[in-house]
Parts: sequence; structure tokens; C-alpha cells
Amino acid sequence: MIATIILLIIVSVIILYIINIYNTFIELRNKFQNAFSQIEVQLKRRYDLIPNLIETVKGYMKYEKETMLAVTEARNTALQSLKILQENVGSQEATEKLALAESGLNNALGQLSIQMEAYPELKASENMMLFSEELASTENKVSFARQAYNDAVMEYNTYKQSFPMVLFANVFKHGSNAAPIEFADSKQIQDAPKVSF
Amino acid sequence: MRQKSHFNKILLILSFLSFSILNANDIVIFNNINADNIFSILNANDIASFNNINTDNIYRILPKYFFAYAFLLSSLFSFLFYKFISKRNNNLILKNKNKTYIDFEDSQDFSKSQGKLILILLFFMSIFFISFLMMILDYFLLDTILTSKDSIRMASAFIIPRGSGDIILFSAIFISTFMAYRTIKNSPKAIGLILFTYITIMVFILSFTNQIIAQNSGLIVATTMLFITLVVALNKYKKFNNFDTKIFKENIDMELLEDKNISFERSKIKNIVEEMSIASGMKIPNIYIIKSDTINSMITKDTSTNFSIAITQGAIDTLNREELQGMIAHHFGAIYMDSFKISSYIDCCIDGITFITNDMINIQTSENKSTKDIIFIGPMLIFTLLILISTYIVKLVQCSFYKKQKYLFDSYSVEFTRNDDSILNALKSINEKENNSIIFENEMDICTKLFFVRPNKEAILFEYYPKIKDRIIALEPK
Repeated sequence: MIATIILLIIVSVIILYIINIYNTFIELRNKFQNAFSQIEVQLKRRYDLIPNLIETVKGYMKYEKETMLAVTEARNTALQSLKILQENVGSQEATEKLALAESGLNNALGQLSIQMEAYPELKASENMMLFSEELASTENKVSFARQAYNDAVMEYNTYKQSFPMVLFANVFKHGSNAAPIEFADSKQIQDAPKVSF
Repeated sequence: MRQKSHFNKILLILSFLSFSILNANDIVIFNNINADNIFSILNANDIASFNNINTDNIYRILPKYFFAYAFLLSSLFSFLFYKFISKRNNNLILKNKNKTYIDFEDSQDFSKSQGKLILILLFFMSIFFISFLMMILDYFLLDTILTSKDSIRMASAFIIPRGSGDIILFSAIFISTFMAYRTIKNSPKAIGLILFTYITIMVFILSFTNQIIAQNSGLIVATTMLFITLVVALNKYKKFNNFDTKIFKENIDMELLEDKNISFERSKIKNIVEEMSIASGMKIPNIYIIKSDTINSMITKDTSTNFSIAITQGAIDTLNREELQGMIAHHFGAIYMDSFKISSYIDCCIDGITFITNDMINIQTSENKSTKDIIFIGPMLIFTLLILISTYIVKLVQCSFYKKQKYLFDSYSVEFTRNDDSILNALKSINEKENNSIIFENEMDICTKLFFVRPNKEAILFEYYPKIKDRIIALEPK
């Protein structure tokens, strides 16, 4: 009698533990998916800000139309690759594509801000100051959202790969690892620089 | 201003009720009315009691009544007096609203007329001690009285209260003193302290005459103590649950940051808070600006799920964007950890355990407490000496908990910003000048513990904040 009771208790504890593992899987996945949607929101916000920026700058910078065009194009590509990624969250390929488009946009924006140095009255205007604060903050928000997403992904992956959860990962359909968003040029960073004289 | 008079009214009704029960009791017990031994006394109950005087049921009603009604009347007067004073003081406080006088723990309405109230308190205390002396006198003189002649016995009946009805007398004393103390101090800790003292003394005295009480005296005292501990702890928990930013708004000059038409500086603050809430994955809290030149910030709770962050104007003016990020991320560490919940549990437990000696320690820690605490605690000083030592240790544990929490939030700040310079530089710029973070003077119970760095001057014994230098050392790369 006592033996069966003890056995029952042990079995129920194990079942509860497995239920807990399943719930934690769901919780962590939802967490990183939610973190991703936060990146989406901020990226979209950034893409919406860029046309306004071009409008503001246009009046002052009449001779750098090429740069502005480059910015607009880079923005459109980034927007499209974001849409592709939205359809399949966590896929390695789409994430890399977005990261590439993002770095292209960053380059174009960098170019624009270098050229803006030649127009002091533009930089000093109240409108531009508020605008650059918004843009800088949105960029920060994107990077913080990315950071939060990567943290959530790391948490999920670590949980998934550790014992004994690794035994249940496939059973609960959590087989593949989630992909963190990385630098597009992370390969270049990892390669040793070639110096030639 | 506060809802404290209702409780007094209830107590008043209760004390009336207790006396009516007393009357009924007497009739039941002393129903042997004998017409032969009628003394010229006030009513039927008393006649009954004076009828059968012997060693088994000595019951002197008249003095008991006298004292009981005296207590009742004096408590009534003190209640009226209290009402009068509180009305006057409310006006005073309205006039001095600009000079903020912050203390959420106790009612400070009586700071101006403490002298008068201490006199009332002394009056009650003296009555209590007289009746206490009578009880002792009664115990020692009992045998001599009973062996002497009837006339002496009758005379003694007028001055010595004794018997089972004394419990009710004691509760009458308790209620009146309770009310008197409430007029001065609106604190459950104090009430618990008085209740505990009375029950201990009662058990001590009654154990001489009642065997059952004598055998279980330890149990009775321990049960009371446990009960009061629970009540005090729950009260503190209620305080934490009802904690609201409104409390700050009444006492600190601060304004809500609106969404529309904000300046460049304000929109920067709003952006920084939003950035940090994204980094920590928490909701965006409300933002308040405290109108003060010093550098500080705090986190408060609006409801159980919504938080507010308040930043001083001085911080916005002096710190740069990075430093502000570090400072605000510190508070997001608190939200992330759900520190309100944890500290409410810790504070409730500690308040419950230390309800006896908490006020004594507060006398040492703040200079604003007057002699009113000492009057009450004085008589039981010896009794509480041991508990005082344990309280000291428990309080130290509480302090170290809060200190460790600050270090933890600092590390969270570094995690959220991924930049150890941000919070480090913010701390350094606060450390540049002395008293660079002080917003108010007094101790504010829960509220003092929610800031980035200490918002008032350093406490003598119990310090909830680590020194800024130590925090800088902990953050600096080695």
C-alpha cells in the first residue's frame, strides 16, 4: 500500500515536471517571437521616418540628389526583406538577408550625414535637431530590440539544448534552433586582416 | 485627510457594549438577593453583590464601576479634544503645504500640539498605574481583609477592584488608553505594542488567582504575539499593495510628462525610457519630472502592473544621454526583478517580527521623533532589551538585502545598456558634489528605498543604500 502510494507520488511528480518543461518551451518561444515583433515595429518606424528626413533635407541639399536616391532605394529593399522575414520568423536565410539590407541602409545614411556636415544651417535648425534625435533614438531602439531578441533566442536555445530538455525538444516540436540576428559583416570581422606591403 | 476617526468611534461603541455585558454578568452571578443585608448602595446589581461576601466570590462592583466610567468619560473627552485639535491642525497643514513635511508612517498632524497630548497620555498612564497598584494591594491585603470584621470589608470594597470582572475592567483600561494613543500615533505597530503589553501584564496578574491562566500563561502570551505579528505584517502588506504614485504627488513637486507638444529635452527623456523598456522587454512606464536641481530618479508603482519613473530636472540638465540611459536602466532592473513584490515580503516579515521594538529603534534613527515614544516604551524597557538585540540583527539583514539589491540593479543596468560606462559615469557625476542627490529631509518608510541614490541624508544606524564610492568600485573594470 505504502509502496504504491510512493510510486504514484513519484510518477505524478515526473509528469508535472514534463508538463513544466513543455510550458517553458512555449513561454520561451513566445518570448523571442514577441521580441522579434518589437524589432519589426521599430524597423518600420525607422523606414517611415526616412521619407520625412529626405523631405526635410531636400530644401537645403540641392546638389546631392544621388545620395538621397541611394537612401530611398536602400530603404525600399530593407522594407521588402523585412516583409519576407515576417512571413517566416527565425529562419536563417531571411534574417541574413535583412541584416544585409540593413547594413546597406546604414551605409547610405552614413553617407548622407557626412554630406550634411557641409550645411551648418541645416544641422542647426530646430526641426532637424528634433528629427535627428528621433532617428538616433529609433536606431537605438532597433539595436536594443535586436539585443532583447538575441537574449531571448539565447535563452530559448540554451534551455532547449540542456539536459534533460534535449530529450523532449523533438517530441514537443522544438527541434530547430532559433537564429539570432548577427552583423552582416560578421564573417569579415572573424577573418584575420590581410596586410600586404 | 485620513480616515482615522471612524476607528475611534467603533472603539467607543465597543467600550459601551463591554460595560453593558458587565452589567448582565453581575446579575447572573449574584442573583441571591437577600433583603436582610441591604446596604444603601446604588442599584440592584450592587445590592446583590454586597449580599454574599465570602472568600469564594468576592465581587466589589462599585469601585469597578467608578473606574470604568471614569475611563469611559475621559476617553470620550480625549476623543473630543482630539477632534478639536485635528481640525485646527488640518488648517495649519493646508497653510504650510509648500513646506513639505513628509512622513507616511505616522500622522504628523499633532506635531504642533504634542505637549497637550502628552499630558493626556500621562493622565491615562497614571490611572493605569493606580489601578495596577490596587490590583497588587488587593492581592496582598486579601487575607487580612477577609479575616477582619464586616465593616472593614465593606470599606475595602470601595477601593479594591478584584475578581473575574477585572478582565473587563482591564479591557476598559486598554480601550481607553488605546484611544488615547491613537490620538497621537496612528500606527498599527504601536497598537500591537500596547495590546501585547496589556495582555502580558494581565496574564501575569491573573495567573496568581487563576490556575488555568497560570498554567497556560506562556501559551497565551505567545499566541497574542503571533496574532499581533500577523496583523502588523498584513497591514504592511496592505500598504505595499495600496502603494501609489499619488503619495509622491502630494509631497514632492512633480509633473507628468505629456505626449503632446513636448520640447527637445523632454522628448529625449521619453525616448530614453522607451529604449530601455525595449531592451528589458518591459512595459513603457509613465514618466514624471521632479522639480529639483539635484541628480536622482526613482521608480514607483501605479497599480500592480503599471510603473512610473520619476527623474529630477537636475539629472536631465547635467547628465548626458548615455548616463541617463544607465540611470534609467537601473530602475528597469527593479521592474524586471519584480522587486516590489520581494521587498514587500521582506518588509512585512521584518515589520511583523520587530513590532515591539521598531519604534524604539526609530527614535535612534531619526531626530524628529519626540519623547512620546519613550513614555510608552519606558516601562517595558527591561522586558524588551533582549528583543531589541534581535531586532537590531534582523534590521541589519533587511539593510543588507536592500544594499545587495542596488548592486544587482546596477548589474542589470549594464546588461540592458551593454555599456558599463553609462551607469558608472552617472554615479561619478553624482559623486562629484556632496549632497548632490538629496530631495527631501525626512525618512519616508517604503518611499525612501525606491531611489537611484539616497534621496535624504544618511541614516545613523540603518542604511538602505550602499555608498556611491562602493558602487563605483564594483562597476569599474579591474
